[in-house]
Amino acid sequence: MAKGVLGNDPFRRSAAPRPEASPVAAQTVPESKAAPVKEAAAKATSTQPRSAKSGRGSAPRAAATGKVPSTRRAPVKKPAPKQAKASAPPAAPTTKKKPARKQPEPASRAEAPSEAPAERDLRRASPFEPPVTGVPSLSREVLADGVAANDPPDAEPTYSAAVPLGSRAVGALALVRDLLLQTLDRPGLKRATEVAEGLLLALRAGLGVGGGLALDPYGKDPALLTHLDPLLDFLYERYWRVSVENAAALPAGPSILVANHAGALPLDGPVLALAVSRERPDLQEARWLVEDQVFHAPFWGALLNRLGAVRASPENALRLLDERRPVLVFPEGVHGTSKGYRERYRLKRFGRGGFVKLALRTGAPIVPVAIVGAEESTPMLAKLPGAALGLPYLPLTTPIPLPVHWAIRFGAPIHVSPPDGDELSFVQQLTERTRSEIETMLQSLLRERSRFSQQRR
Amino acid sequence: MALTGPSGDLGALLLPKLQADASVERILTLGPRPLSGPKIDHRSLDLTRHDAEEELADALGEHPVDVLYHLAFLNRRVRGSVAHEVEVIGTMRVLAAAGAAKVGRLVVSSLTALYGARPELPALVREEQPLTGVPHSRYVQDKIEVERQVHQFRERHPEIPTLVLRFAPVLGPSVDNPATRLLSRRLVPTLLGFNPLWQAIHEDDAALALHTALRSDATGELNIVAAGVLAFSGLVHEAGGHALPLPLRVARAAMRTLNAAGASTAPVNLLDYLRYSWVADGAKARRTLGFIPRHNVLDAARSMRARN
Repeated sequence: MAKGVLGNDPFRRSAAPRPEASPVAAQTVPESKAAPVKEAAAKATSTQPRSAKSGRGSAPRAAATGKVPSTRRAPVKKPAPKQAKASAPPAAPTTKKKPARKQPEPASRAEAPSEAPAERDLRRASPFEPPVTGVPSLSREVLADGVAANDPPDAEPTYSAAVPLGSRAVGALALVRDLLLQTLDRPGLKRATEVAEGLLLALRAGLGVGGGLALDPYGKDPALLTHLDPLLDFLYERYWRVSVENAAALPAGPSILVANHAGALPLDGPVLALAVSRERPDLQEARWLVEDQVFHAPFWGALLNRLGAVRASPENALRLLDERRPVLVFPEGVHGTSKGYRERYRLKRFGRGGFVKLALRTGAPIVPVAIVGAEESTPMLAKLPGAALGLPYLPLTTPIPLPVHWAIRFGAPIHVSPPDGDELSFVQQLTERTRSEIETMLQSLLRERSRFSQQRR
Repeated sequence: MALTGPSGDLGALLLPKLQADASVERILTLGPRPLSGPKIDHRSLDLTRHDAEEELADALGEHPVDVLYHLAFLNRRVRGSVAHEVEVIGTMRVLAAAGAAKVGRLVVSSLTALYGARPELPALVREEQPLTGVPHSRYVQDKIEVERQVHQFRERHPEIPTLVLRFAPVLGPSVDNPATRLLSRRLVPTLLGFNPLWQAIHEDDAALALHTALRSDATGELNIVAAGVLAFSGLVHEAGGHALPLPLRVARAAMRTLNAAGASTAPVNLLDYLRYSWVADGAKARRTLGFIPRHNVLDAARSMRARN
């Protein structure tokens, strides 16, 4: 890809290391640094006239070559490799790694504007690709060049090597301008910036530096969720295509939803909570309980808490049920999330039947729930030692959750009445009954899924 | 009525309210520092002296005391055994004198911090939660010992209604306690990857709660907290500071080093307050004491900006 950038510039005199470096730098900069996209975009456009003045004849041409394909899918990708073959010096790729981190500054700055077109492209090209990785690195590197090369007037010594590349930069900038103009008036851009903002806020929440000024007593941050809404809608409707069955079976008032727990990352809680709130807006807001190991884990725990997770404990569950909320529990606990991919959809032991005791105390019905999709969406590939982070293990999974179809099925509510005889054996019986109902629903969901995929073939 | 610790933060907040209260005839203040003003009858008292109990009994016995506020607690860690003498032994003497003088009611101040900040705390801590505090922190453990004594006093003197007010961190322009000292820094250390929920109470509300206790017949322990919770980073920000997130290991190592160098005596376990949420449920105080705070937690945090 770096070759493409080099090749774009017929006027290049010296083999400055910078252009090769920029794509690498751009890629290594964490996504989160993509600060307010609009501001960055404004900045990029505002620098435009200055460079246009200094530009030479090559500028319009470069812009033109970029322009044509930019209206199609993946705007810059096509012309780049071709030119790369034509004119890139063969030595260039070998120097690629060394100066990689030389200019993190322009790279991170440039990344912001790149995000907007990138996300729009993603939306058009394949809705089932996550926004995080969807940023085409090429357009990003072009931008990186553009901004960096444009910096010399600010007398930053690091960029002085890029001065002779001015004309090439102008071409790149024109391309950027085109892309920006094309995307500016699209609703997609607005959504993309919203998604980026939501992700940024979520990251800050996970780091433990985010605002958190209007929290509910359990620590949920409604403002954060509002910002994440566009992303969650996208994930729920288009990425995971969550299908919900039999949500009408959910009783009004407090209930205990018991589900299978799966996947290396505990995403099933938030998704199930989202499903309940979408399918049954008449109910109180559902909350999911999270085992201690996750709730108190650094980063993840802080983030999940802001998203609405509550630590699993009898006191908390009782309080939530008192508030007439549906409470989502995963009795497999950490055993459910820590099982390997081979063991997927095989239920682990169901704790000590805490949810049955809860039902006995409160009279809230138990609703068995089967969730299919969580296991494949974040498959547990391996467990790495996580003691350094204070975790029992560090799950190795795909960098981003995979776009598998999720299916959630609600079973018939089980109304619990206090037993005449031994409570302990009653609790065990009912635990086992709930477990087998979930097992049955899981198996039938899996059968339907395989039948469906066969039909599609 | 009588008051110990009149020149402490809570005492200083409560005194003007009592002086302005028409139903209060006389305020017997018992403290080491001289004090004067309308209605005030000051007796110099050093709780660490071994004859303090007799002086107390004399002072309380002169006139019948309707309400005794025991607010003589330290708000900072001190070296040596002074804290223990004042708080634990001092409370023992105050309680003994109060029992002998048959005071009408007893109000003692305490802290929600005594529940500790622990992974197994419920999301909203009710008053029944055992006080576990923080291991190795004498500041906290001494105050737990005080509460234990008050509990025993209540069993021995069921005829004297006893009320314990557990305050969330009291914030405001005029108070000084560990929380205000932490929050009045420009850079406040936080733990990277953790953002526990904190509570607070505005100093005016703390005074209001104490004043409300004057006429209430509520007994037992009550959490006195402002409405709402704040993530610690939000609290820092609203109080006018900047969060400096440190990895847990770095923060631990820094505290150990400071302790080893003798520059600090803060136990490493205090970091738990920056790691785990500690939120107390204020519903019981609303119900039984009728205490409704006027400022929410955000106001309390912002009141810190009025300092300096």
